[in-house]
Amino acid sequence: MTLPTVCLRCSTKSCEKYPLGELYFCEYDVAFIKLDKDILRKETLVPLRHISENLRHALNPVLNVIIEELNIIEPNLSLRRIDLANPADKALAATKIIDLFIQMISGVNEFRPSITGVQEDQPRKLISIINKYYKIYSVLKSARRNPDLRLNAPINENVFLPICPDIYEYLISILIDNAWKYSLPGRELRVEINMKNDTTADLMFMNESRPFSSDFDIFGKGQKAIKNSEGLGYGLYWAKILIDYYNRLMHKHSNPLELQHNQVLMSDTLSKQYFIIVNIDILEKRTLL
Amino acid sequence: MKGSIFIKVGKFLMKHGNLKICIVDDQKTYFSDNMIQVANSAGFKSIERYFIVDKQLMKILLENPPDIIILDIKGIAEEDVAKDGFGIAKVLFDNTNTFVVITSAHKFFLHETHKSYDYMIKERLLTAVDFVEELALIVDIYLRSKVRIYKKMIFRIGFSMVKKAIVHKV
Repeated sequence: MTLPTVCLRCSTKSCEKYPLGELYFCEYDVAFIKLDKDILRKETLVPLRHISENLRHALNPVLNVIIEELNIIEPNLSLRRIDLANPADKALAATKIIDLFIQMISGVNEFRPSITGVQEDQPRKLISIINKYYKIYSVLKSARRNPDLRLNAPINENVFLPICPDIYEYLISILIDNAWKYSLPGRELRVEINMKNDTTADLMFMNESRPFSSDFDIFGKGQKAIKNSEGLGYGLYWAKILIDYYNRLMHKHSNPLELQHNQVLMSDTLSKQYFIIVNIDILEKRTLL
Repeated sequence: MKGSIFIKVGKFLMKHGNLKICIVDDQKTYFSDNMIQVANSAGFKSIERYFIVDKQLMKILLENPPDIIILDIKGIAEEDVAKDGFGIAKVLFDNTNTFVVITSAHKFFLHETHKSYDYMIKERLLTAVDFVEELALIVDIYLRSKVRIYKKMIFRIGFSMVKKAIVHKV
């Protein structure tokens, strides 16, 4: 028998009082067998997906209560135009971070994508999305986060994301959150767009951080580049899931959407981190002369 | 001031244009009273708010369908009516000309085998202003895709006068 020796940290330890050699279940539904020198235990299987499903069902109404109350304080509140000079907007930004976090946790544990395809949506301005998430993640203050990250994003106002902008929005939010988490103080996040043709571009995010090992799997589930960082190691893994989902929705067999990473070592203590979303679908609205 | 009078005229026409919107969501904080009031003042005067679809409401929705219905997925259907919001959406989508909108706080986790709706609200968190912008987008798509050009003319004219004041480029 190869039951793992994991268990709930219960206070009763009732398993210790049972006779040797037989299978029992304790009051917490943990199966166990007491042996001469050890107790083999196996917890009731509670899949992570059940936990995350309950989490998102329970927390979403709570977040909406917060927004409803903030709306009473500030009637013109909008998640699409956040003004950090206003405390209600800051609270709204924090609420949005919780929402994104719940989506990520449930996304990596129980993703069940829709199969019904792309629908009409309002194109969203790329630079507005970048500015929005730069502002949203600036509300978090921690000794381990960058305190003064500057955003340098020379992107024209006429560049829009016309297809599934919500998925792009999520990808951009993950990369901007990472920049706030890992950039060294006094540095900038540079975002550049490289047009490939009228409808396709690459979007590059560059930030400067401490170097990390070249054999580190940055897109791996639960992988943390820096041990003491704030991250859980799920963000980039979730980004990859979203990109796969986008390619399936769009039937992208050639020139698919991709997320690439490259680290350029500048010194023993400094490296440039390049994240490039390759082959984004864009719409460039041209001004009529 | 000129713009203000222009918008007032637009709202007046929208009010008399008879575009009926129905919202069903069991969570009272989604599409709250405040959000409906803000939508009313933006010109969307005819919004009916329900929390559960029972047999009686289903009968009304089929006999006198609204122009637009916004449906949550989970928790809105009585057992003898449908399994969930998708079930109600399918009945209305197949049997009426209602523009069916679904909304869910869990867009990445929807179990759907085929599409029985016209539009999905993807934003999980909406302030009152965000809701009105989303509603304007829905109405716009509805007027372009599901209504013949000569129908709803009074509402169309009013809406075209008000739309720019509601929808901000994002």
